[in-house]
Amino acid sequence: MKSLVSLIVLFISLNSFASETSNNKMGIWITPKSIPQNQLLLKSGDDFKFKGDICVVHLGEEDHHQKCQKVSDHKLVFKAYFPDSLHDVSDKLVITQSKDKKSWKYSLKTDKLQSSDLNQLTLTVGTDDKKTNELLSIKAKIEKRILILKDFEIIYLNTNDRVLNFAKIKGNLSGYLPNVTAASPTDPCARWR
Amino acid sequence: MNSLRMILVVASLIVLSSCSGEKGVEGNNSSAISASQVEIAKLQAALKNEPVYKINDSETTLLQHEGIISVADKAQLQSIQ
Repeated sequence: MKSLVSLIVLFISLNSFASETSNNKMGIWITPKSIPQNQLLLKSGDDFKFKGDICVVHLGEEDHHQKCQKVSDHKLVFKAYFPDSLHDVSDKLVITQSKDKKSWKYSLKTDKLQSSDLNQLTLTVGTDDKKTNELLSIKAKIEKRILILKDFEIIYLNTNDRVLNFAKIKGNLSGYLPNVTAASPTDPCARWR
Repeated sequence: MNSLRMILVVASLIVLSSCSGEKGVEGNNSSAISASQVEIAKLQAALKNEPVYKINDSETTLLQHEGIISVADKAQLQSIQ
């Protein structure tokens, strides 16, 4: 029997990058294409194609539906990780710049999905940052442990071992995650539009 | 030899006590300690064939340096490998 797979999308813009004046910093919008209802239920063995748009905006005015800003390509590094942030799949990431050079489209087709994986796409845009990469790796390792513990809770629910309290360890590990994310020097502009 | 074995047993009880978050009271808490031990052992077994997910010392040190985890948390994370 094939297990159901849930997909998670995480976007991070690495470091706001400044233009000529220091008070004219830019942020990045990453907007995923919504997933059709009929593709929400995926099984182990299926694959999936993520798609979306990337746009550079002035930092601090990102809620004002402003227009995308023109930025030269060489200032940005696009990276993709799947099924978790320990697995770099940037070579499968397709980035296409618009004709006016103010936005990009991205797409990434996964390999066959496994229910035992996190199935989390992490897309980073900006300049490469060592500390952020380290924290992303740690986050993936903690999330993997939480995923295993969730499986254990289901497996042992109807067995004689049901007294086992996996929730406690899971709770401890989950408690670290917000702080791991907060410690990463990412741009506050990177969020869902 | 016997005295050495005794010290090791006591030390492991202290570690397990801090991992489970339970008070290390002798006698009454033995089931909580053993349950925690079994849970962690099952998690360790699941991770055994996936070395890519091993959390190394430099990573737990970074988490501690960032104020994300305490010394006790660090011991727990290092125990779940």
